[in-house]
Amino acid sequence: MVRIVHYLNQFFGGLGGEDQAGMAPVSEPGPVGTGRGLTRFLGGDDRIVGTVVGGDNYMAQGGNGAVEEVVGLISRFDPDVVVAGPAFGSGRYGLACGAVCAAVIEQLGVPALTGLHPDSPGAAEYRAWVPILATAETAAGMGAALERLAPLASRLARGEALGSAAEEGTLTKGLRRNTFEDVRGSTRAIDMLLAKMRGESFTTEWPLPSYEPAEASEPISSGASFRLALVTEAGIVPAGNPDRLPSGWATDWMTYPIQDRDGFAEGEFESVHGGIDTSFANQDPDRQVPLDAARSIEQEGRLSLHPDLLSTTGNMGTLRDMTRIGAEMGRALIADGVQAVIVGST
Amino acid sequence: MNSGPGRQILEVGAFDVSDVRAGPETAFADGILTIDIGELEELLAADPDLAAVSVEIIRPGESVRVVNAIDAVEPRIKVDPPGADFSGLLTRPRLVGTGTTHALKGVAVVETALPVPGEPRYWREAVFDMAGSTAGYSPLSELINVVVSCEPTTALLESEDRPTNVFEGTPEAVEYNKAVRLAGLKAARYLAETTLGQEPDRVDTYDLAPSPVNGLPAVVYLYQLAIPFLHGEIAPGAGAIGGAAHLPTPIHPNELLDGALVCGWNAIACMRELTYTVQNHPIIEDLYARHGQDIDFRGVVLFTNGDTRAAKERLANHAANLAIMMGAEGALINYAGGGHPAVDAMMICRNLERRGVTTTMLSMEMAANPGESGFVHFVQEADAIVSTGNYEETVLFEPVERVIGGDELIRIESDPSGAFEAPLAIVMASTHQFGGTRIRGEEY
Repeated sequence: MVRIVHYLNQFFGGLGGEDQAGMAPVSEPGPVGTGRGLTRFLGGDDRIVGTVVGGDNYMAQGGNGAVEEVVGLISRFDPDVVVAGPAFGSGRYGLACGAVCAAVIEQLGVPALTGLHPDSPGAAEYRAWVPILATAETAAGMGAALERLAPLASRLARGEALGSAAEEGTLTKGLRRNTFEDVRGSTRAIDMLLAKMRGESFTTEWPLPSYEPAEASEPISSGASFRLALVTEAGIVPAGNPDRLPSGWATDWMTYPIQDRDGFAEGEFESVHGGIDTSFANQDPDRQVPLDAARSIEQEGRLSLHPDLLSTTGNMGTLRDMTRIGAEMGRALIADGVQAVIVGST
Repeated sequence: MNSGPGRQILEVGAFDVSDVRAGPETAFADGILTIDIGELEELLAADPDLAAVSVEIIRPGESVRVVNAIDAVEPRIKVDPPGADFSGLLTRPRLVGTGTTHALKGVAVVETALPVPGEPRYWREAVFDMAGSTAGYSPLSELINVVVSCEPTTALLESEDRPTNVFEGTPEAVEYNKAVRLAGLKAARYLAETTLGQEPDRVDTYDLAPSPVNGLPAVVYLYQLAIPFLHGEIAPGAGAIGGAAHLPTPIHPNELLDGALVCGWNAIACMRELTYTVQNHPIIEDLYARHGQDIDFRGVVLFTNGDTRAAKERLANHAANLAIMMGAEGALINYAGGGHPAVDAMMICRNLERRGVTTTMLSMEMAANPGESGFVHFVQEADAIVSTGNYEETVLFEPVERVIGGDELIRIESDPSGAFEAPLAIVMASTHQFGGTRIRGEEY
């Protein structure tokens, strides 16, 4: 027998609508709401031994603490597997399903899965860690989703590894790994080109990513004095690179005092960037980070310069690390009252 | 341009090699290549830029790791016109891509060389195994390799001179690296000389005559160069070395197959433009094989990359112009790897698509961490990409009995014969840009 514990929100748990969205998690033995439908598709003597219901707002606003409460209630039923939702395309509910499954897997060591629409926020957030059945966007797809969730839950509970996303109808993790094809790349490329030219269907082997656009800040109002910071991803460091800033794959950033300098002299600062011809920057690092020009404008009284250079190496940097470094630098500079930044880029 | 007088038809006589052995006399008979190792070492060591040269034979399945690899070359010799081997390097620039060439199949000459202080080392680590789980990644692991290990002079090893940047070494270091490459080419010619006067196992004919079948889709291959020798000179503007990128140029594919293009630079091993791979260029080979079958192969356009926006726009417009002038309805584009080149390759894709030419790209991926897309740059038009593998994926190197090419690795802190983990990036030609292997990245 497989012991299933089911997680639902207040609506699908039959405890109320939006008026009950603030409710703290509660548990009940056996199936509730959606769980009665799921039971119809369970094989053998697999059964839902308990249900935990959490309010959408409570979970959305409660953070890790709310998830901990749910996981605590779930663990009392001693589950072999946890099913959350399905939550389809919903925002709060889908995120809660993802968070609960991720916590169950990590903290209880018990398999868990949910059902979400591929474009839902919960899918984007948790697909790398949680098995997610791809569902319709609305609860109109409930029957189909439950029919497919039931056997997946049973297999996970028995320790079976799921097949590929395409085979199982689950979402990919959104990660990349190497595999081997039967046919070499050059031949596949010609086949793909011909299919595309004929208007036949083809599947790119490397889908394009989508990045969130960066919002530009309001311009500095002309004439007003402002505080400017110099930042670079060109790996500009004091000669000899005392902090061992790497030439590539940097995961950290440095600050170097520049308040006593009117510019960078050759031989005192250098670039350790591993992806560019650094000879021009090394001859005169001001070419990379315009300290000399900024200082002369400061002396005209039009701006005040932050006392430090913030420096990292962008070469080969991962999007995740660079996003974090940018945010850390931004927070530090805002705390120092900086209104504008020049990023000496490569 | 492909018919009438002066047609360039290349016939490559292929000699299948079943084994390579050391012996008293260099000769090829019954599929066995025998090498007088001493004679070959003496021939190669005559170069004053090299202090010593040693030659070893390694076979698939042997517990051997090659480190500090530089290039790989298929043994070949020009039979007609004679003497036109590796145009511009072993001879003055010569007409190649026409006439007859002999090739020893299943064999590569692989040079190794200790790095010297005057050369950039950042990208130089280059390794492949002949057995074990990592052997499946390099095309060289499947070949019998004649490894030519070169040692620098003491003066060069002890020189205080350092490279000025990550691309270029000191003049002496550049000369040394070139001497190493020339040693490989000389060895390749020396070995293939053994086939003169013999009948090949088969003859592969490369003829870009107009397709005998009308109405097949016309395809041009846009080939992004790394930093190769082209007829003896580093292709101008290639790589992000600075200066103006030269305009793209059309080139007869036979020239590329016939020794006009030789690896010129120690790029990241996984994407190094090995001479062997260009002599057996997978895209060109496949396009030829299907010419007149299901495509009409119209030729090759070489392009490099600009290092300013204006240079990139000039280059990308011109590349599209050339392809369209050659009648392209479809285009294959390879990305050479690196930062700048990704932008140029993607701009060409966009230009062609906007002008009505259908494109497919071949690209390696560089996704170091979960959730990384692996793209340097992309355009929305690049909706058909063949992945040649994610070179940031970590692989486990197993211990080996023997190491050739040096006593230490460059960036990896491990005994070279030991077990270590490293990205696929350091494995020779493992994710190379021409799609010659079956590896690819997939989403899971």
